[in-house]
Amino acid sequence: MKKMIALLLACILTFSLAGCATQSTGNEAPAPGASTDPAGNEPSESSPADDELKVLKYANVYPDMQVLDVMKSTTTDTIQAGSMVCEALLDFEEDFSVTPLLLKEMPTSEDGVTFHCELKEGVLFHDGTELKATDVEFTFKRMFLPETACVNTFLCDMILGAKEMLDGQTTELAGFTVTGDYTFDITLEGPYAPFLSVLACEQLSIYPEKACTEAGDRWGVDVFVGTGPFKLKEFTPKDRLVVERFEDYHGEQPYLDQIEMYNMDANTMLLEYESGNLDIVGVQQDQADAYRNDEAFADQFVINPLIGTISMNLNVEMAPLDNVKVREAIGYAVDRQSMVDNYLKGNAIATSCFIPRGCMAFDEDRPIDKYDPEKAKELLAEAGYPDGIHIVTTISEKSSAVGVATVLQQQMKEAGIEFEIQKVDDAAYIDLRSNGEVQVAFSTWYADIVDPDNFLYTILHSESSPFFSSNYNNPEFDALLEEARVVTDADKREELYLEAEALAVTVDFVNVPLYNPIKFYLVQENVEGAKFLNSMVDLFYVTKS
Amino acid sequence: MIKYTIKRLLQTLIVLFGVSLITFVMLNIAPGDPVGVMLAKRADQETIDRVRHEMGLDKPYVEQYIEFIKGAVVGDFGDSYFQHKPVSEILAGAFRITASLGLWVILFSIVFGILFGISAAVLRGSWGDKLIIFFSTLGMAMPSFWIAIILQIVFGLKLKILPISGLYSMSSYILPTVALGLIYAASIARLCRTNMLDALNQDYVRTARAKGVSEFKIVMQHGLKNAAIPIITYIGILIKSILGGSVLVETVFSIPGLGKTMVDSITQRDIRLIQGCTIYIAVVFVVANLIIDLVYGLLDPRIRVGQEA
Repeated sequence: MKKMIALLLACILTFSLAGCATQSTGNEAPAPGASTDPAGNEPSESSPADDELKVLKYANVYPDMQVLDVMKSTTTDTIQAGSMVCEALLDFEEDFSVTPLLLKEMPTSEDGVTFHCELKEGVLFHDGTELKATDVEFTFKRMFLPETACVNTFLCDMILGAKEMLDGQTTELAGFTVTGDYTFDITLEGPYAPFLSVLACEQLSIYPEKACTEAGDRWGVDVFVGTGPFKLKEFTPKDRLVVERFEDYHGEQPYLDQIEMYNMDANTMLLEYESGNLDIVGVQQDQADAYRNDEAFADQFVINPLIGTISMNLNVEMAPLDNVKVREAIGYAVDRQSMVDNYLKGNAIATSCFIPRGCMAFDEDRPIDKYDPEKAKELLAEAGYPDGIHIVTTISEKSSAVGVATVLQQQMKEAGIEFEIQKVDDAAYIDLRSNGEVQVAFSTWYADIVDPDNFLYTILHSESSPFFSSNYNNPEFDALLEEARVVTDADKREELYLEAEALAVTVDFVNVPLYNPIKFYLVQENVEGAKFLNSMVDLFYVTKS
Repeated sequence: MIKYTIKRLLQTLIVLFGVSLITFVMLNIAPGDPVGVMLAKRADQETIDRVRHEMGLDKPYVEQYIEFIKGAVVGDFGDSYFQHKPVSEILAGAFRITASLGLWVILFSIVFGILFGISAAVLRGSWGDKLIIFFSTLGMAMPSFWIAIILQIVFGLKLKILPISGLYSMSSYILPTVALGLIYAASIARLCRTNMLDALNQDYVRTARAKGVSEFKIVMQHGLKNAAIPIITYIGILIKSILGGSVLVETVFSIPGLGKTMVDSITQRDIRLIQGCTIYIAVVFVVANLIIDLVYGLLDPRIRVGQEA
């Protein structure tokens, strides 16, 4: 019997040693802190050369960093990861204007329908092949082939023939013509004013035909090749992405040798940052105050207002919200300013406009609606609800607006509105919301492209409003948006959008804007050059001293 | 015993079939599907239908289930809807991490648990005993994710002697092992103490003492061996829960283990990954139970299984 126990113990030991072996072969890369641990007690497994590399370590809460192929996900996490390796034809500047990236110059168009593009010559993919017009054609076709199951087609399905391809009627993209090794034309169904911004979206990154075809199912999983200044070195889904400098990059050579991007728990990454193991970290809204007001970190704290709006969509088909007076009353029953000042501790900007600050057609002159529960009660009485109403919001437990909803519940009570909060898991919420079955749906929307079309058309046009549970359907509003899409004169467009937004928010009251969110980061003092563009971070030209 | 083992393994197949069927039915009753989550931002009905079609989610349920069973028999659970790689590959990767950490946790809990358990029993009533009881109660009362955060702050941030997160070097195993293992070690210590005391009060121990057997031999052979059954039972439970991964501790230490994989797969309705996870857990439970039953027999001939055969 003693022998048996000894054997058992021996087994356990052997297994645990096997465990060590797995660990040392499986994870050879250094820990975020391994090579920079100030105490130097960490037996780093990295090679000596690693210590001399100029490495930038960035962490944020990126749970959806699951795949690199930007056609497969709509989340910022994936798009951020993909953009570390691949490039689109055009690029966004810090003011959201667009400039050529893979193109020699901006596309030209006589009629706003056909765009002539010319690629830079000599642009190399990370596998050494040269970027040709056929690669661009391949990328666009891949996007619209049903078997790709691309989820970002909504951004660019105005390209001629895209919808036919998506329907499986053809495998040729009518709106794309290769006119030379480096030149091609893109034709749209009709004029679409923000099209150049679309071409700058990371979701339209250009893939190399050869590498992508050869990789098959592994594309974006462990094979991913682009034209960016950094190439893929290692990717563990939901954990980390490591990219290293690409020596033959077509643009300016970066200073860094390597960038490491981590998905981490919000508290853990702050600990790592405080220990000096991370260079840049995202800071969650509820932790922002602690760092903003701490002298030791105040200089490292970065405030990045987002081009986005947190608002409530009111479902016009579900009583009592079918009554416009009731919807108007809700606007008076919410105290945005107090919410921002007290609950969000100033880490957001109150707004009464659905179009966000920093975007065309944001109405600067519109005052923040006053909190007036008495007026709300009056309106409810006029609408035939003198005893108040009971409305329900269904909200994803993952949503950043859960706390906000609770605050609103208190505020609305004053106005005789019983605001019930129904928390469900994310998948269930999306299911209910996209079937138009949520009475009050929180909309947390950040711009894909900084254009009012991305807000008004995407969310409130009758074609898409059921997907966001507002079920708004006003032909006059739709007509304004459709007109604004095809007008190319910027001033005229702005006018149309101002009018449309005012119609939806101040006449029909289908959306109750609450605030524009802000993102926060901490950047170590020796790190410079990180660019924060809306919800994305550009780390390519960061320098460390 | 071999016949018994085979019989038990055959029963396992029925259990696995049941588990997969229940999971499948539940997933299809619950609202939400992976395409909805994937297209959360925006999609018209055509896009949703197209993606659903490409993923085979528009097929009749029965057909989907049969396809799943066909693949599962040969260990192929299909590709994850979100990570776009085989479920078996994802599970294997996460399992490697959870298991390599888990073995340390198991070793830690058993070694410290039994060591302190025996010490407390031997030192019964003394200060040493009281101290061990105090700390084991504390260890059982503290939630592991909380211990994890405290350990990170003390050893990582303040003392800077151990890595805060990740599992990249030997030393980075220490904090998660302690965080996860403390509660188990404490439980084993208490369990061990109680049962040891019970055993040491038996008549045969008195006889042994009277015969002049050395105290060490009495404690190890007469005491520990007879106290082993409940401890083995507990270790079985421990192994099962450790191999299931721990969401909170994995999150705190940024470890891409099984706990996180499973919970995330559920919130995303990554049906194939969920199926893979539930089957995996079922296998772990069934196999662990089987091993425990067999070990019982080794330790106590009275409950040796399969003797009738």
